[in-house]
Amino acid sequence: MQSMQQVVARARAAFNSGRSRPLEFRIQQLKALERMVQEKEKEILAALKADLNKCGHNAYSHEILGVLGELALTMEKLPSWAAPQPVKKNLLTMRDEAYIGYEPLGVVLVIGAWNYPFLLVMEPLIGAIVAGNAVVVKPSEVSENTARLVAELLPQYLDKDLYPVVTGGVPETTELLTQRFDHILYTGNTAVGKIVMAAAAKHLTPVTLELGGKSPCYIDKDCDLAVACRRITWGKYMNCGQTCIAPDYILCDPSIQSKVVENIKATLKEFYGEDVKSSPDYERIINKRHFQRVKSLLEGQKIAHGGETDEASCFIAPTILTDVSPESKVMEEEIFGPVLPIVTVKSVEEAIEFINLREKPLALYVFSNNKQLIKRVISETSSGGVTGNDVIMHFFLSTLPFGGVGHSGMGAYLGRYSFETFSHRRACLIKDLKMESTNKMRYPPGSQKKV
Amino acid sequence: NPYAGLVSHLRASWLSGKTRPMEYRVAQLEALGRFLDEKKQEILEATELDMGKPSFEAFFSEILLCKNELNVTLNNLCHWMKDEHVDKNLVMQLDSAFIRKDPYGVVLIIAPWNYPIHLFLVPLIGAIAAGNCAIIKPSEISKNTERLVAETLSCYLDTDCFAVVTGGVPETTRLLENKFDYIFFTGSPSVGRIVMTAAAKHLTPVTLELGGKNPCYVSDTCDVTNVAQRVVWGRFFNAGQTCIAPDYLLCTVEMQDKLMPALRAAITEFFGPNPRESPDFGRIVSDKHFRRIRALLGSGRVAIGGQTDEAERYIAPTVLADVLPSDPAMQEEIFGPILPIVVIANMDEAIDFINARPRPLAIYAFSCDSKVVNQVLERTSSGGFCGNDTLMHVTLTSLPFGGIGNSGLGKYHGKFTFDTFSHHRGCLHRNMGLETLNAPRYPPYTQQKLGLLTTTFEVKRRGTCTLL
Repeated sequence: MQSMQQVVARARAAFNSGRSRPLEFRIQQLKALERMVQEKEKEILAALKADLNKCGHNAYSHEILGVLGELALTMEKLPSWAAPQPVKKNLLTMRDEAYIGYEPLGVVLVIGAWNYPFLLVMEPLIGAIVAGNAVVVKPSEVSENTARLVAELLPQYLDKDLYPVVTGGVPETTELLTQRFDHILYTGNTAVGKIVMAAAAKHLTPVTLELGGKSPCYIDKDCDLAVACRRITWGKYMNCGQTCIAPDYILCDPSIQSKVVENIKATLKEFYGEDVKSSPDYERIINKRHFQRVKSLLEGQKIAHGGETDEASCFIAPTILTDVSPESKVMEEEIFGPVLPIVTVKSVEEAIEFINLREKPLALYVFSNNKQLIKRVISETSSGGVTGNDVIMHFFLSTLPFGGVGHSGMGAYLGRYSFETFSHRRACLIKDLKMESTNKMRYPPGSQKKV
Repeated sequence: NPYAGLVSHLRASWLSGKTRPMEYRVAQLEALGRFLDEKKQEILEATELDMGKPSFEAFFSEILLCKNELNVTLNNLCHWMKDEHVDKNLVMQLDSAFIRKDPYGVVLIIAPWNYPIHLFLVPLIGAIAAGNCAIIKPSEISKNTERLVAETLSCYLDTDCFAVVTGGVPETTRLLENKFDYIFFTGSPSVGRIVMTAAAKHLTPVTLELGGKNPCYVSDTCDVTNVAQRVVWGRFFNAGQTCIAPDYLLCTVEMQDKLMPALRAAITEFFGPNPRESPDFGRIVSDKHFRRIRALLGSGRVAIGGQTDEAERYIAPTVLADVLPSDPAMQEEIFGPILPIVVIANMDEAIDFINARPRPLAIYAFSCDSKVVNQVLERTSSGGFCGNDTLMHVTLTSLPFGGIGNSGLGKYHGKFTFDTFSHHRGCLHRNMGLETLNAPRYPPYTQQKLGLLTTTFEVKRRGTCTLL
């Protein structure tokens, strides 16, 4: 069993050899990843089913499709992204070459999460490879089947020294974090995010932290409630609520609360049938610990729908809570489960104030027919990203940066943003050794004329 | 927590939305311009008292370069603030997708003593332009400038939104206990670590502009006179107290011999036969730094200069020849008017030497052969790079200025400062209608739905990459 130090040292030596830099090499590795995803699709789907009871459709559309898309995009764009970018020159530099060069950072650490265990390891890995780095991959041990599969598969397809996979839990990750990396991308929760950043600080390592929070969802009185609730139901209960950008809670006027509940109920029936537990399309909570955590949030709450649980299978039914008090436990932490609290507010001002009193969330959702109202909510709040009149979807547009702000994270990635996150933008000015006369005015001795 | 009141006052101003309208930001930026114009004399005097900064240099770095940044920002602010619309995929053709530039909130700018106005003002320009409130913490070591800033900035900027905090290490430590929404720090790597560790407690994003030993490679094929002038200018500007100064020279023994008279000639041309009498040569900022730098004179042999005067904190423009990698001058960033020359056999050895050390803020390479310059550029890593000159790459506002590894993280200047202090928020504003288009994503799942999703979401390769 190798120590973390040895694994990282080997990756660093491999990076220093320079072989991860040529564009041809990067594309070759990305192509190998593409082959891996295509050839091992069955195994990947099976691991996701074992970890989260994710059905084939969800697993494919949420985790595999996105990865294939990112691979195609990065292979396509790499030459243009990696090209030096000439910049506007001033009078003094008119005859010089001035540009921004994109260079790899070195050895990147990617720490994945358990909720989209394949996606959240692959997307950062793709970004780090396309930028020319070596990458140490640490999948989440909580989603153990996917972790095991990633540890088996990556060495079969990728350069073993440049892209090692490290498995293990808290002690192993803590040891890993004592090593020096040139960038760390961590996906997970706020508390561990602080630990990662503190460890990174010792080496002055830049970090991208994709964290979480309570993503609010404001439903205006003036909106097509049936459509809004349909979209919200989809985003809230996919992956059994275990999505960092799921709408965490609803804010709406008391007068529409019961209509909201009715519409969500109807949609749930349409999606999962009468007996949710027997629907092949509904996932489970990842493990007993999280099951207990989410279940305890139901205590003392008014359950308008759902509430059934089964510990043996980590099943929690899609649940709606009404008239939730802002001080209750369910409103304190990110739910990360299929429980949807509704907090009533009398106006959009109250909703905005409510949101601003809390930590900045990863996503913010607002439903309204009134464009101005949507614009207002966006401009008077802060969040990682926003989708208006839908949920989740901003994640699927790779031309938008995906990341948090404040407690929901720092930095962004996906698409071109991954390339930029994992690259160093080096300012380059190449002058002529001749033409010294133009430099005379800056040299001492100083004079008014020179000034 | 002695600063809690101040921070919450600024936070309340921030929440009121005062700093967000463009007119407000422009007004504050214009006020900064008036500060530079009206207090020009005071700035030149304060920096002269602090480190004997020649007024020519002070005007160039503290006034002119700052005004450039101000004007670039004022000229482009409207454009920078606009929502940036992005390309959409098939599914989102009828939606609106854009990136908003949101301010972070209350930011902290910690500035060092060597360019005491420039290094708080240029970040502040970006912070204001991006719509934030800010606390400025100037360095206590440049105490005359600190006093000037503390006393006069409040006459120009809105004191509800911008405040100056003075003090030393204990005060800065207490200040860092508070939650900020961004911290911009310029200083040493060791303090950079402390700042980032404090920031981690609140998950505050940071930009750290640090330092290191900036190598300067001089190849055998070069115009010795021009090289000497450009290197002397860059090394002895501000008496060597510049984060991007060429810290040490790498060249062959033959080039060392050729360069020495040229370096001597350039120093004499710039500062006269006795630089101590030149109004164009600065002094060391403090007794502690004076003694630190003086101790480095024992490295190699003094080929030019070497004179010191403790009372004046004067150290002559000095060139040390035949310096060994183990010598004191090669163990730390010099930050003083001493240029060690380390002899190497050839370019490859120079590159290996550079790569064996922490990545610096800047790398310089001089050669008449552009291939040589490009080799050094391509085979090394640094914050920035300048071929055939020193310092100049940071005067171009369209180039990002920042470090890598030990020399820092993040970047600024020009639009990069505005971007540093903004949160780029991805926004997708969808159509409430056309719900049928969403059907393939909803359960119950079918093979047909999956097929539809795949077709609409998939990014297909348009053709083989021309490289393969």
